[in-house]
Amino acid sequence: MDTSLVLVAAKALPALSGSSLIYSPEKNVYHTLGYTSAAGNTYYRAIRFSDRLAVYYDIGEGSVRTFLNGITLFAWNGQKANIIAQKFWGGCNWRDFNERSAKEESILMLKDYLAGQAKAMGSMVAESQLLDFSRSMIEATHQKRLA
Amino acid sequence: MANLTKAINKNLFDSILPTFGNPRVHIPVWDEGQKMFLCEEYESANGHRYYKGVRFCDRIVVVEKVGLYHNWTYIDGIEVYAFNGTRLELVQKKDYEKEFRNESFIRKESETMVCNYIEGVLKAQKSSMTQAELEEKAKAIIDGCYKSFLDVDFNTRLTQILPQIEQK
Repeated sequence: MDTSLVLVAAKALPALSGSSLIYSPEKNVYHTLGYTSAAGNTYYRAIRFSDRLAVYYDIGEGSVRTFLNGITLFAWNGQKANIIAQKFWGGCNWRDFNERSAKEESILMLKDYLAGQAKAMGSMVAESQLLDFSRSMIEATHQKRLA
Repeated sequence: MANLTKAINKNLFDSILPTFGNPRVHIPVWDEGQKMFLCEEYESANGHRYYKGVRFCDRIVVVEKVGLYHNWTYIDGIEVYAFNGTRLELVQKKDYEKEFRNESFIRKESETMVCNYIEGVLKAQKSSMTQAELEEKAKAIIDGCYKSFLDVDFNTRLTQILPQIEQK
């Protein structure tokens, strides 16, 4: 794995509340150990990151279905990470987990963050450019990091 | 010209989404998914994370205190502020113990708190309003707080209150 990204993981993977991480090379994703409820459902986080951001999926695994309970995006600020977007699903608004749609949702969340920042700074950036940049940034978190 | 635009935008993107180790420009973060600004985020020594979510309209400001522990997101408190000139005054506050964060719960609680505030003021002034009117008024005010910052007609002047929230 790229040494600079090892450094990022060691220093800055945020808000894990002391959880251990397991790296799954075939999907290039980190998983927290998670928690299994009395009802037998398992909850964990799937994490991908690049040198620009970290993407957390909150996942719930039931006996039949796997749910996407939330997505959180973090941006780096120096060597720390800050939340820049969060979305939750659940209850009557439940959502099946699907890698493709979770990735598309992450791209839109990042685009909205960039649009908000650009607006706050008084900059005009074309929607298409925001979307292109967001897509490339999220794609970067999905790239294989192992040599 | 296209290259110049690209270069300008690259600088913009580098400042708001910097590479690891570089500082991010201090601009309030608008979270479109939750329809609120994210402020004062910090991580405790044991890895729990906390932040304030701020929503507002031209009448009130609602601040929710959020805590993220392990796999769960909790609502730790809600505060409602009213304007007094350009200053903010706390008019309602509620704390919660281990309450899972739920969007519709927060919206309902915010409406109830605004309702209680108006009712209290009316009572102090020996005035009154029907319960239905009160609830309708509170709902309209809270609905106004869920307007998107990304909308073209959002009153951006109101974002000037964010530094006040960060100081509280």
